[in-house]
Amino acid sequence: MAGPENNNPAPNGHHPETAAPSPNGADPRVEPMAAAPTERYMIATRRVPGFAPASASDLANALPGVKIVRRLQPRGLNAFSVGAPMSQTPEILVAEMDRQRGLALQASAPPNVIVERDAFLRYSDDLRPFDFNGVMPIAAGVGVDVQIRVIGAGGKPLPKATVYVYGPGFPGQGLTNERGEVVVTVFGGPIQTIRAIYVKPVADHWDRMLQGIALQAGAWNTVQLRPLTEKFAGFPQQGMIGWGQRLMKLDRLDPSFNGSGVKIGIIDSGCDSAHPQLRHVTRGADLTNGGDKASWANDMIGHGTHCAGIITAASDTVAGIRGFAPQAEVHSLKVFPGGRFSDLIDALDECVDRQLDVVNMSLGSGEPSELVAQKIAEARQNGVACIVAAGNSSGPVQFPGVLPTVLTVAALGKLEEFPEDSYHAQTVEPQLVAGALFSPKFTCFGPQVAVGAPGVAIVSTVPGGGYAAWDGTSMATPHVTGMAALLLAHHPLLQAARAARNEQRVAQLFSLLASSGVRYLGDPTREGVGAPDFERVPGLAAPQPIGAATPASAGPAPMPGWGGNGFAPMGAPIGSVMGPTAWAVNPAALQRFMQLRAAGLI
Amino acid sequence: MSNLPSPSGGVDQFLVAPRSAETIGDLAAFEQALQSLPGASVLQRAGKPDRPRLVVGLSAAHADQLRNQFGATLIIEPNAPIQPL
Repeated sequence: MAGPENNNPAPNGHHPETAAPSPNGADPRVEPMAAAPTERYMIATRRVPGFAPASASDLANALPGVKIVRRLQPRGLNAFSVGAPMSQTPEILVAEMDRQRGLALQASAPPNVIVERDAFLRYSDDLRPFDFNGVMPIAAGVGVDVQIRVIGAGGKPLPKATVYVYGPGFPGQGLTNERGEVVVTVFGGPIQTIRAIYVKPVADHWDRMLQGIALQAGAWNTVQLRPLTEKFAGFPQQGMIGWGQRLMKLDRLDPSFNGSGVKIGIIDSGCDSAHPQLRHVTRGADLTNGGDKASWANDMIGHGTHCAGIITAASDTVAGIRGFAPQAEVHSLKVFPGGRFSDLIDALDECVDRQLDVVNMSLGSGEPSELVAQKIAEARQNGVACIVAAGNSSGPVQFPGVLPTVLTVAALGKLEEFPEDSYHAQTVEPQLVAGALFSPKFTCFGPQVAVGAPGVAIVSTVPGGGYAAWDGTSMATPHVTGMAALLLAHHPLLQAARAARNEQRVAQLFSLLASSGVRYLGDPTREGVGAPDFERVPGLAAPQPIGAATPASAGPAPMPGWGGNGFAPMGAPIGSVMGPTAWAVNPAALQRFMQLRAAGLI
Repeated sequence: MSNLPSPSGGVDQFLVAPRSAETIGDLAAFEQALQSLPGASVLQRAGKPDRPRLVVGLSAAHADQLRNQFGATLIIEPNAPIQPL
């Protein structure tokens, strides 16, 4: 049997050339390197009194084997000034060379020349498992091997679980092997300094965050995860309706509300159509692979499959979860991994060409794009409604969620819907809790947020046939997309307008969604008009209780470890744009509806 | 698009498209100008005949230069990565 996997790279980003003996005594394998890797260095001049001005180009060009790949010119007014000030950033050369040469160049550079590694940046992702504020990475010393064994119910080993270990330095991470074991190497201190462990299972279990732990060196430290069935008895053979669907009252709709006749696009990482609940998803294109007609079903990330489950999971072969629109025609347009604006534009072109009605865009970028904005406007003019995630960076809404042509969705969470020792609990900010609902700290906010929707501990489909509970505005967005599909399919106002693929129909759809919002937080920048609620959609046929189909999860009794995270749930919305009663109707929306009916348009 | 060879070094990807139907012809002039720039290349041709667009690889400095030359009639912007949220 192979030894435990160790996927933890050395701090410099390279795999170690010699492996340490594995804990079980097996001989380490040393893989030869095909070629010496090159590294990037930045070279620039530094003004030093007493030294003649230096030329970075001359220095770099004087060394063989150094390839200049980029020049960063000074910008701004200073770039044109004579006698640049000491504080001005000089021209920077970016050069590639092998590491030995780079170290030699660093060592031999005169005082008036700066040579430093052009290190990789890491993007800030607030959904990363854990972050200790104020922790400064320290110089790597002797690594400490932490042996972790991950098990589920009954001691069953859990392979492919990602384990993060947090000490005083950089976090380490690894993936468990078939025995559920992994050795993670961390630097910065002895094993007693390890402050937390986060374990993310591949499927069918809750994740787990362990803090203030005492780990043993040289021995296996076992972490047991709770199965999803602890909360959802008999799942997935016995069906459940997620807390998000219940909040939006999907469980109050008759199953005949199924999205039949509506075309939905999901621009994401593909969709595993082999999943028992997604076999009806048969259309798509892989835009990372020249528009390939088959590889869209290979979802390497799982993100698109998770979104697809929320939107359209069907209970034909297994009860599982309830998707919003299981009879809709879903098109999976794959742009991840590696997507760029050009891929997004290609995908939106596909949406227009395929005459899709509503498109889920659980994606964003740190940069704006005029061309993407134009394409989204064009899609809207063609009757394609784009529903977009606000972002997870805890800051202002990201592009394209900032565009006025889309419906932007922030995330909401609900207490007692996840174990207290899960990472989901880390998304709770005490001052953002209102009753049982809360605004998770990761969600982006701003005046562009149109609605809030469930986006914490959302159980949905993942590749391989399983289920996982994930967080993100990405998970909130498909709740709204699914509801939009049902309104397009079944609301009389939109049924009549379905043939007319134009901007007006999109505006009507967004207006209906917004008019059904229930505010829970009282902060429109974090929830817009609130969470859309089927019971508050004006003009929608009266929903009926499902009765026998009531899920096992409906109204579960609190269990040990599922407390309110210190916040007493109260459970009632603080306000509603629709009024206090369940069947209240927005007067403006009703008036619009009556006018259209009087005009014979519906 | 994403399976194209990744531009190396200081070469970044840019999206280029006409600002209006009247300026489609400037795209050909842009391509002509691109050929004279070392390391610059067209990575992808996309869009429709009436709405063409290019993905090109070129340095930021060259992109600024071309923006000065064609910015009035062509949109030239970074082909930035997008992320799942």
